[in-house]
Amino acid sequence: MTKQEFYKIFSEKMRVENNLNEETSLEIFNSWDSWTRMDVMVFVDQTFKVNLTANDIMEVKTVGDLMKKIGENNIQ
Amino acid sequence: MHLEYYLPDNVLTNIELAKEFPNWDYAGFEKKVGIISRHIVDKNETALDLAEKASMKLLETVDKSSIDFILLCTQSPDYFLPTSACILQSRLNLSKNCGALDFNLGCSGFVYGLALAKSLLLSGIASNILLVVAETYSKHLHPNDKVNRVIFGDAAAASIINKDSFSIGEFVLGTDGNGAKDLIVKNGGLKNKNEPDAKDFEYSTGNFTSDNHLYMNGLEIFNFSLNAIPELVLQTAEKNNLKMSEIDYFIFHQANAHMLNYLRMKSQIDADKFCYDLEETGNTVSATIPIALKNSFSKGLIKKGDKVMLVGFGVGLSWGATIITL
Repeated sequence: MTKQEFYKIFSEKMRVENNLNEETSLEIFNSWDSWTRMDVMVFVDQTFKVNLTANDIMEVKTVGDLMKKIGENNIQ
Repeated sequence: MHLEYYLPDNVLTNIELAKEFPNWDYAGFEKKVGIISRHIVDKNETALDLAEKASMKLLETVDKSSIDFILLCTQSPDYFLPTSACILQSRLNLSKNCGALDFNLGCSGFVYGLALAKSLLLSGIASNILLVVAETYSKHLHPNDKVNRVIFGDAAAASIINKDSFSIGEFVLGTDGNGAKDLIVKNGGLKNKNEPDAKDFEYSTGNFTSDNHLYMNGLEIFNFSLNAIPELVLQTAEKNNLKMSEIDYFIFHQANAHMLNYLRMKSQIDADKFCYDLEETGNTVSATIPIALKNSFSKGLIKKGDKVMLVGFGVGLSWGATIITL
């Protein structure tokens, strides 16, 4: 998946405008709640076959953090 | 099917909760989580009271003199001792020739109760078992714990298990105590007494609890469920010598619709065979499965002869599933 594709899908999950980049902080968004985190865990599992633990997702503070957890090989 | 349930009279709606938590997007919550209201006990009402009321409903059509064992599942007992099931025997005026015991489980409680009941029947120890699940998680919740106050409701369900009730198949059961810390009330037992000055802590943005109250790591519970439950479903079908296509209906523990959606998809279950029944009750812990079973039968979604998989999972961590034939 390309970075642009990822930003688009992720912004839809977050219910925010797609002007995301790797430095975007997620904590400014009210929608970055536990339900959205669960959605993201499932999306990452289904799309990239990467199993994020609860600790993994709680460590994610920016879009870039999430991309690192998913793996450079998966988003280019 | 001899199965009844009881819901406390107080109904707490999302609109009422939104007055306490003004920034809460309850419309979005309803869409995602599927809960509009939940029933909450009065200050002086306990799980044992709910157990009694559910049992009394059941006993309107059952000969109580035939009951020779009581199994009561609760994590909200009136006392450490004596056993709540013993008190229930007295309140229901059942025969003194009746065994009785409590067991402490949450969301897997009804499935485990069926396992215990089946064992008692097969061993000849009992022939008419009153299986009751009763829970008042509302009493464990911090008033400022929005995340959990919007999910959990109180309820009890009572059923008679005997050779004439639905037939109970084989079980797959599991436990992982490493997850104990992820859904816990730390204080109030004998390890840690209740602290009058227990400090509140924020565990998720704007949500508070304390060691005297319930703490749930929702993400860990979600992760555990997604990993363990689809496999449990397959193992249970296999153990009962059934293909998934031969199972008529699936009733999972009604944790929340958000989780149920993902579990259904991951378990590859058709939507029309999958039960959602939590809109007006919320997550009633061990009572969700019997309530959903009763309602599904009453609505004609399942009928005599159907094979129904029951899947319970949650606090402990504990999980279990079986297939009943109505």
